[in-house]
Amino acid sequence: VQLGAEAHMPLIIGGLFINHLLAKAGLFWLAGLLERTAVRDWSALAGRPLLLLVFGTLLVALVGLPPFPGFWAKWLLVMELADGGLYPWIAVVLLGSLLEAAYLFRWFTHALEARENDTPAAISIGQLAPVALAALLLYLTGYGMAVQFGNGTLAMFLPLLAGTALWLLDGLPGRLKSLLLLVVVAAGGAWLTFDLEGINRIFGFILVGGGVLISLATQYRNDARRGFYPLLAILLLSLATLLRAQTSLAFFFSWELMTVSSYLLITLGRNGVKPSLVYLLFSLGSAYCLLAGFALAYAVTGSIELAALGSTGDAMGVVFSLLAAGFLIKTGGLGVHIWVPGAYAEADDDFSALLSAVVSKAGIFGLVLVAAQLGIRSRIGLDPAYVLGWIGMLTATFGALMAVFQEDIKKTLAYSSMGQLGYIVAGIALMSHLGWVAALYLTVNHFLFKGILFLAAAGVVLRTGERLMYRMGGLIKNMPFTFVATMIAIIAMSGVPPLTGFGGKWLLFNAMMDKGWYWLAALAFFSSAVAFLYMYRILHTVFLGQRKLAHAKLREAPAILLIPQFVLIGIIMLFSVYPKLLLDPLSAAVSSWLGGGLVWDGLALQTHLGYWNAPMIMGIIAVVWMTPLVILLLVSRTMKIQKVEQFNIVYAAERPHRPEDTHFAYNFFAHYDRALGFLVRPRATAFWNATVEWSHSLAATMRVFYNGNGQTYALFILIFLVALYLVNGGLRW
Amino acid sequence: VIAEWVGRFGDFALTFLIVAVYGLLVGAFIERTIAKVQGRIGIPYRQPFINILKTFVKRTAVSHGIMFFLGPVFRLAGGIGTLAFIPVIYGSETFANFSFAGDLFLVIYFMFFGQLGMALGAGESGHPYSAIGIARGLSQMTAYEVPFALAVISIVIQYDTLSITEIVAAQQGGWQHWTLFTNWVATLAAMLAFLGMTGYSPFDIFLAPQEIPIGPPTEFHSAFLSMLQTNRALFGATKLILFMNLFFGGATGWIELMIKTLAIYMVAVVVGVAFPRFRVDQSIRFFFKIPTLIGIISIIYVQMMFTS
Repeated sequence: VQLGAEAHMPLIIGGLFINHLLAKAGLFWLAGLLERTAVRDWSALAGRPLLLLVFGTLLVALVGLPPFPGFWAKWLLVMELADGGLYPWIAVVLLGSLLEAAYLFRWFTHALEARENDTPAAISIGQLAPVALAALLLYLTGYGMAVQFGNGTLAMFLPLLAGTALWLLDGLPGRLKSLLLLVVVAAGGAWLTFDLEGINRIFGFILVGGGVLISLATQYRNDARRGFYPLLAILLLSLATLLRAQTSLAFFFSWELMTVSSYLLITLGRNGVKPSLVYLLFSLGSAYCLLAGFALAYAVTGSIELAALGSTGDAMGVVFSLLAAGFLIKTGGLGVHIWVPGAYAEADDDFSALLSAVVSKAGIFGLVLVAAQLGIRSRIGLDPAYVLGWIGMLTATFGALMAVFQEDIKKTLAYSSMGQLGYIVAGIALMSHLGWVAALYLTVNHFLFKGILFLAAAGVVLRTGERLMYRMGGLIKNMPFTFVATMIAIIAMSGVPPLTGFGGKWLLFNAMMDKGWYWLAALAFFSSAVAFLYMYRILHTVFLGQRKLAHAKLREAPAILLIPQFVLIGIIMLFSVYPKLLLDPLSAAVSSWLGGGLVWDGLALQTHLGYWNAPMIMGIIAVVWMTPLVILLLVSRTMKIQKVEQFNIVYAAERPHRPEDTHFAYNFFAHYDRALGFLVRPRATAFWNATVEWSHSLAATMRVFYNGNGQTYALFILIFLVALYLVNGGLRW
Repeated sequence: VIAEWVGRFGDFALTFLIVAVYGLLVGAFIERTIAKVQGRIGIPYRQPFINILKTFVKRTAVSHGIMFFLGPVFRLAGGIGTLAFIPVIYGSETFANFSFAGDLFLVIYFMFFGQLGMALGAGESGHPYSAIGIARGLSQMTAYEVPFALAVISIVIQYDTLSITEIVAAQQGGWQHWTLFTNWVATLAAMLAFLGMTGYSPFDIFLAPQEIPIGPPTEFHSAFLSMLQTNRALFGATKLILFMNLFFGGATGWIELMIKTLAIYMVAVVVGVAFPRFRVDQSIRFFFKIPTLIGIISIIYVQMMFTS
């Protein structure tokens, strides 16, 4: 397909027409079979994988998501609109798409949630055949369109092929499917990413290697998990294709595929259906920002190559802002973060780990890509960069503050992810060699520790059946390995030397001071101090303090959950002792975009301001730490050490009643809330709720025209004809 | 190489001894001073040493578990390590410690090492008072960290380095070169943060000596407690040395060090004797008002004065 040619109209109209025809025909047919008029009653489909697959396919096609014809046609339409300078129409088309997605997927949401006293749909395979045929034709025509666009390659469609293969094997036992998934993703991912270079290669290691490592934990469940493994294969492999993308079309295709598959995966969580809709809408909002940005870039440069983004000239500021906004939504930037807690907390426990440790890095990758292409080749990149830096650091601060006040362990970790990604965004915004090395270092580190933390949480949730931290306590006795993993991850996150976190903070601080971003550096100090609060809270309320009587007999988390955690710990330790191993490749990758390099004096990293000799620091701390330990051990040999239970405590000359009453955990930072809680009252949530409210009211107002009265409609047609006549020259003066 | 490192650790052991003994003596001095203000006689100078020795040789101990056991180890290692990364006497190779391994940023972050480890140990003791003390202490820490961070950034801009040795070097050649006089705004912000850091009244609620027996260390006793007592003296003195280096021109000899650090300490003591205790939320609000404002002004000030 050559863009800008007259011959495109058939592709656009034909694509949209076929898409609409098949999807609508299928949906009407399905509605006829089901005989339910109210969308709420479509809950009859809940728990019926095949019906849901067909229904979901039709909806996804209708919204214009990949790989269906509507996706390609819509993309071309938007590009042509941009080429013609019809920018307001792009906004209209995308806003319309978003609203369409909202009501269509709300419908899907109803179909996913089984209700009590619901009679399941009585539809036989034979009856379903025509609908399934429509769905199948959509896939086939979608592929045909991809071929037309020159994107029908194996590399592009590998995620979907892998997903299909696993779907066909969905009847196998859970562990076997998980094993197949690991093989498919490892092999496919390796094939897709082995020839990547520079920054893409580093992200390849995190997204594919990290994805496989953390997916190992899916082995801890042996239930069927219908649809989980195929979708996960699509998600992880689409991350790999994302890294390979050379054109904005290929990038957008993988991005949307990632969005749909991660959305569907979240719906599989226990209470994942509601938050998944919020996730989908924000993700689509993000995707449409990207599409608008790409379209604008195409209009200016006439090319859809990603490498051409840099030559957008005067439009660079707008293109950068649109693309950055898209990626910020995906990383959970402040203000557009409200999808984060729901999605991360309600997804399946092992999938939460993937979402936070791996999938969130796709947004970071996008931001790096855009900043690399746009920010460097121009001088105007500076001011938006400063704004981006502020957004990043405010996200870090408020993410940490919000994490402090959560009772739910997964929500705490979700807000923590949001905050930690804020540091990375600020690092990218620095647009300096050191800043980018810091950002990539923090990215790797976040993957390492957040993978551990979410998997550890999965183990705790599995054993206790609780997510609220104050309902746990004292679990160090039952789950010592999980505790050690959590503790090391938290030290690596906190920035306390000698683990990896310190390097990240040190690099970022130095880069900020170099750049003269003093206020942001101060904010970094504050937010990392605030982060201590929730980090300690996780360790204390879950693992320390008093254990609940009911938890006395809990076992350690399953080994298969612990293995990935300890592999990650091994990597953390390696990079802690010898960060050069990580820093040199990062620096080399960055230097192809931003000139400069790291200055090493032996093993000490030097910056303009300071120096950091990690192996030596590690050694000194080891000696300093061992000395009192050895003394204490020697002393304790001479005295009688009596091991007592947690509840055996001195308590103002009284014995407390029960351990449950004695665990200080609920509302742990009440005093902090009194002082600073006003900062984190849910303003963003209120804003988005108001947006929904306004959309509903507006829609309700518009509805008065559709009153079902034939005469009114006749009047509309008449008015329309008169207007058409007048516009077309009937009105001359 | 091994001999060289053994020598370095030997030198550092000497520093450690001097600073620990000095810290204990200063502690006794302050106790006596406060006692005099309140019309009491106070403890003899040997009392802190006797306390440590007595607790250290207790014959029995109760342990709540491995983290409980390691808590005091982390705490003391945190104190020793912080001292290890600070050059104590300017111009002295012997007392420069291991400051060549890391800079001021390392010292600031390493201060958390002992606090975090101790918090974990106290947490495993299972005592609610420990957890309450830690929750309060951490909250207060986030607040005084702000003026302190602003002051540190201000002097890093001023001296254009993160190396503590170079910051001290830049203040040599007379009292008028001290940060106290060249950048008094930053010093003021840092000293206000220092009040919170020392844990004297009005910012002593996390220890709360009356209501909550002794805060986080509640359950610790015998050899555990002796380590914590040692660390309190050592860590206190270490923080004084850090402040002396950053704001008061450092020291070229031990006598100068002792005079200066005692003078810095007296600020916290005088304020502590004069003012009653804040609640945690009050102290957080306090630090976010005037001290933070002064910290912000210190950065603007230093940008006007020292950068072109």
